[in-house]
Parts: sequence; structure tokens; C-alpha cells
Amino acid sequence: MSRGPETVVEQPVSGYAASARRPGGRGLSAVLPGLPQLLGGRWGTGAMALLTWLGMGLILAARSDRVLAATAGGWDQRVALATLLLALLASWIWSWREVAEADRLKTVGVSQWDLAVRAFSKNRTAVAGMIVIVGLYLVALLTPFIAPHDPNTQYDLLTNRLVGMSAEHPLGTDQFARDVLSRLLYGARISLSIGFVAVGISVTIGTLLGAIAGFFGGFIDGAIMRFVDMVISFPRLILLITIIAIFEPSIFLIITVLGLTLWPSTARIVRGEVLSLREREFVQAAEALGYPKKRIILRHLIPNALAPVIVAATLGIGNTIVLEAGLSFLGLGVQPPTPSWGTMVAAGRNNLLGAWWLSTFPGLAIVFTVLSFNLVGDGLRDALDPRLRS
Amino acid sequence: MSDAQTAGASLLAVSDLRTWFHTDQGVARAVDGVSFEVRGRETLGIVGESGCGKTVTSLSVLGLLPQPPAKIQEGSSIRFEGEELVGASTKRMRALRGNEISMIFQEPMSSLNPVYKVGDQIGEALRLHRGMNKRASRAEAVRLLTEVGIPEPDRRVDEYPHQLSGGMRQRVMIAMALSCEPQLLIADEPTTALDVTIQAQILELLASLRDSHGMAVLLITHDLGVVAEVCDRVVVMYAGQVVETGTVHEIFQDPQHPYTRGLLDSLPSVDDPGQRLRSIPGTVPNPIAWPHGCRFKDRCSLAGPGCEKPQDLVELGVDRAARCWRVES
Repeated sequence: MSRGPETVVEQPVSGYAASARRPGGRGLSAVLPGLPQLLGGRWGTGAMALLTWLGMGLILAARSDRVLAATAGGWDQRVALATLLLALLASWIWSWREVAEADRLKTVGVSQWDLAVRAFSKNRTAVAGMIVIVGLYLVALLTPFIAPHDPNTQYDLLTNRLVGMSAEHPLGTDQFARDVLSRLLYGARISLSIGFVAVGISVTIGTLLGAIAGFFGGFIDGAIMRFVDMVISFPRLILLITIIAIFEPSIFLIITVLGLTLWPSTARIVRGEVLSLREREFVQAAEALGYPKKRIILRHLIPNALAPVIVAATLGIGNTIVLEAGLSFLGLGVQPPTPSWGTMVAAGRNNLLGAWWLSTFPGLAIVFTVLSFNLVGDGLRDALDPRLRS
Repeated sequence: MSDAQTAGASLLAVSDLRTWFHTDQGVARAVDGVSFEVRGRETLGIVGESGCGKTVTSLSVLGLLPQPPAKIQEGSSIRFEGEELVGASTKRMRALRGNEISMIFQEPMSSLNPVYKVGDQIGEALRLHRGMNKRASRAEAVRLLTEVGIPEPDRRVDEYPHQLSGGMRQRVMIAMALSCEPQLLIADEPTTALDVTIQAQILELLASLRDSHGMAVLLITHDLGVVAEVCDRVVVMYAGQVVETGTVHEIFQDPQHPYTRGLLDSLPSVDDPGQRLRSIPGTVPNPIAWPHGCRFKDRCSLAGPGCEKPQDLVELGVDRAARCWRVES
């Protein structure tokens, strides 16, 4: 019997990586990010790199006074400054690396994540949602540079109250003569960060508890899952209202309460995944190699259970944004004068007929943001499920 | 290489091992009084049909069975290099696993973690047991991949399991198991899920690695062809008990127990082409209610008076025994 090597099926090379490299591509990317991609016919990637770079450059040029002042400003201004510089740098590096990647055909080390990214990038609606989300977070982080006015400054109440759209106030002013566009941009910071942080907390708690329940089983499983049942059985909105009514409403309280009530669904998902994963032989093999339980849970089980968690988290951010808007609408969320999309909708509803722009724009912002998260979530679900991947 | 590695010295001594499962239906006596010995540098085969308790025996050695429901009964003993493993601390068992006793599994498709590169997986045991850093463990992983006969190891080390064929994955599993130079390798049906040409390659690889590393191999299989190819001695198991032991030569040339004969008769023969394959009628009984008396009597063509009482293992010589009253006469 021969002992020759078995034949190996080469991985198919993805389309974009196979596209021919243009000589001097790297040099071009150093001049203007996205240029080699645009010349090579990869419009999407090229446009994204170029637009990011141009956008950042525009802010830098038009608002140089604010950018310079930010070095000595508060923490949100410094965050904005860091974001600006990072995005500028990232568009360059990304364009450069994309050229380098296209140079060598990538057949070695194609992970399941790489395959998922490829599947995701073919889903146009999901990519569109992703671009909107990334754009929203960029805008939210850069708000101190972009916003035309201070969100809480009241202009002359006699001349500027409830004025419609104009060059000075692109989305008009509200009943306190504040600039709606600026409040909308600052509101995005609040709404988006509440969604992100609350889901981050709940996913961390849910993943750990779910993995522990699924791995150990028996009494530990029973105890954790009964606790999950208990938390789920509370009507969430009423629980939120009660807690917020007892304590002083604040952003941190809202984030904490949302984070601490959303985790049970993640825990259930992860437990189910771990229950099926721990029967797989690689877990037994890890035990046979003498790995500690903690390592098996953290390094071997959780990374394999992550795909449905990512989908649930993406959809969860959308839900949380709606929930926060609802709480703010009821006056239990973010307190005035701090702008949030929910409070803006609520404040505008008395003047809906006379000044339609007050509620409409924050309402649209909520709709498009949540829609984007749902599109991305659906796209991720398709991309991460190998059974749906063609 | 330590002293216990010398050929012939006892490396693993299992005696009167009884692993029972406490289930809702009753007590399943999956392994019920098994004794055998693995010596340095030899390959011992454990043979039997599915449900005979082969795998439970091997998992008991490594202490990998979930307890409960499994319970290793009082009086059982598993000695590795003289050290008692029944009742050893979890910490001690963990230090032993992978380091001194390794195991490879049947299903190469699911025995590698899909989210890590194969090099990371081979290196993980080295980093954990040997305290190697990332770079050293990667270099060692490349060396191990070369040793188990994987072409282009520099490239393969950065690939993910789904990019490898079944045979290559089993080679990677073997590389992982060998990474810390164990003295005993337990191979649980290592070739069952592979196609025939790859099976032979993997068996040859195991045999050559056993010689070059000076380790012993405990090979668990239902395939007597595999046993004939690589084993030195054989333990035949049926219904949670050892029914016959002997060298490969003795078992194949002069089988004593009717079950062993039945297994040999079910092998296709080259001398007699065209003949219908014979099989042993019936299936392995339920471990919750083993038959009284000889556990094989319901399927045995020779069953008759004398089979209704429990059978003892009859010594027939050095390392040679069979559990049937007829061999005495």
C-alpha cells in the first residue's frame, strides 16, 4: 500500500482577490485611498475608501478651528478627534492592504469567518445597512465637529422659535429656538451608544451564563435556566418603568437596566449551542488532551457558539434603540435638555401640525437606524449559517 | 524515554474494571470486570462489536466519563506506571491526559475545532503542558505535521480543519496526540470513518510512530483486519467482559471462544471467493439486563448444558485465556 499524500481540493479563489493587480497599485493607494480599486473596477470598495477619506478631509478643512480646539476640549471632543484621525488613517491603510491582498491569491487559512464575510458581502441590502450603520456611528462620534450649532443653545425666542428649514438651520428650530439638526446629531450619540453598550453588557452576561449552564449541565444548568425563566417572566417595560421611577432617571441607569434585562435570550441561545457542541468530538479531544474546563469553555465552546449570538446582538441593538426611544417618549429615559431621538419625538408631538419637522426627522432617524440593524442582522444570519450558504 | 518504556514492562494494568451507568431504566453494567495489561512499546487491540464496552473501557482509563451517570465501582483498579488512576484527583488526571496518555477519536470530521488553524490546535497542548511560547509551538507543529506525513506542512499549519481531507484531519489528530510525547496512545476506532486506502496509510503511520517514539498503543476496533495488521496481542470483549486473550497469531490461528470464531468467520475470505459472508445471529444484549449464565449463549451455535452458569476466564497459558467451559475439556 502506498503512503503517498492524499490529494487536496484547493479552495475556490474569491472574485475580488482574483482580479488582476495593476502595477503601481500600492503607490496609487498612497496618493489617494480607493484610487487603485476604482481604476481596477472595484467600485464599491474604492468608493468607500475614497468617500471616507474625502469626508474626513472635508471636516478637517471646514472645521479646522473646532478640530484644533478639541485637543484641549472635553472627553467627547477628544473622542471625536481620535475618530477623525483614525478614520483618515484607516482609509489609507485599508486601501493599501486591499491591494496587497489582491496581489497574493488567498488560498491558505480561509477561516469560516472569511467565508461568512464573503457571503455577507454578496448580500447587497445587508451591505447597504452595514454602510448606514458604520456611517451613523462615524457621524455620531464626529458630531462635535459636524453639528452646525450647540444642541442646547437657545437662540432668540422671538425670531427663531419654530422656524422652518433654512440655510442657517437646515432642519429648522424647535419651540425653544434650538437647532433641530444639531439636536438630532447629538441625539444619535445617545441613542446609538445606549443600544451598543446595553447589548454589549447583555451579550457578555448571557454568553457566559449560557455556556456555563450548557457545559456543566445538571444542577448548575437547572439553577441558571430557572433564573433565566424568572427574568424573562417579568414584563420588561413595566420592570424598566418601576426601576426608573424608583431611582433618578439617568443614561447610566437606563443602560444598566436594559443590559441586565436583555441577557436571558442570549443565554438560551448559547446554552442550546453549547449543548450540541459539547457532544462533538473536538470537545472530548480537548478534555483528552488535559485542557482545564475554563479553557474549554472560553476557547473551544464559546467561539463556536458565537454566530447566532452575533445575529441576535445585531437585532438586539435595533430593539434596544426602539425601547430607549419609547422610554424617552414617556419621559422616563434621557432627561431634557440632553437630546435623544425619543425625547425629540415626544417634544414635537404638540406642534405636529404647525412644525412637522420636529417629530418627523428624529422619527425617520429611528426608523432608518433600526431598519439598517435588522437588514444587517438578517444578512449576518444568512452569511453565518453554512446551510444557507450556497 | 523513561525506564517503563522498555519493551515488555507493564505500562497500564487494568484489573477488574467495572464501569456502571446509573440510568432511569436501571443500572447499565457497560464494563463488568475487565482486566488486561498494556506493556511498553506494544500494540494491544481490544476487539468486539458495538456495545461491548470497548469505548467505555478506554474512556474510563482517561477518566473522561461524566460522573454521574457513570460510576467506576469499588475494587476496580487502573494502574499507569504503578500509579492508581481510579480516584486520582482531577488535577492529576488533567496533567496526565495529553502529556502521558493521549487519545485519538473515530470521527476526524468533528474532532478538530473548526474555528482555529490546525497549527494553533497542535500547539495548544504544547503551550499548556510544556509552557512553550507561540513561535516555538508553531515550529514544533510544523515538525509534527511533517512527521505524520502531511505534505507542505508550512502551508497546512495555517489552514483550517475544513480545508483538509478526512485522512489529513486524522493525521492532524495524531500529531496533536503525539505533541507531548505520550507513553500510551489510545486509538478509539481511528480508521472506521476513513476509506480503505487511507485506513491502511493511517495504520502504517501509527505503527511506525509507535516504533520511533517508543510508545505503546491501545487500539480499539471492531475490525479484525485492522487487528491483524498492527497488533501484537488481542483482547476480545463481549457484553462488558473479556472473553478471550492471546497473541494475534493465537487468536487468528486457534480461536478458543465461540464468539471469537464467529468474528473470524464473518471476515471475507480470499481463499473462498463467491461464498456468502457468515454472520453471528442476533445483537449484543442490553447492558441493563445481561443474560444469566454465559452472556453469549443466546447467540452461540454450541450453546447447551453447561452454558447456563456464569463462565469464568480459563487460563490456557501465558497471556492466553478464554471465557468458555468447553475449552477445559
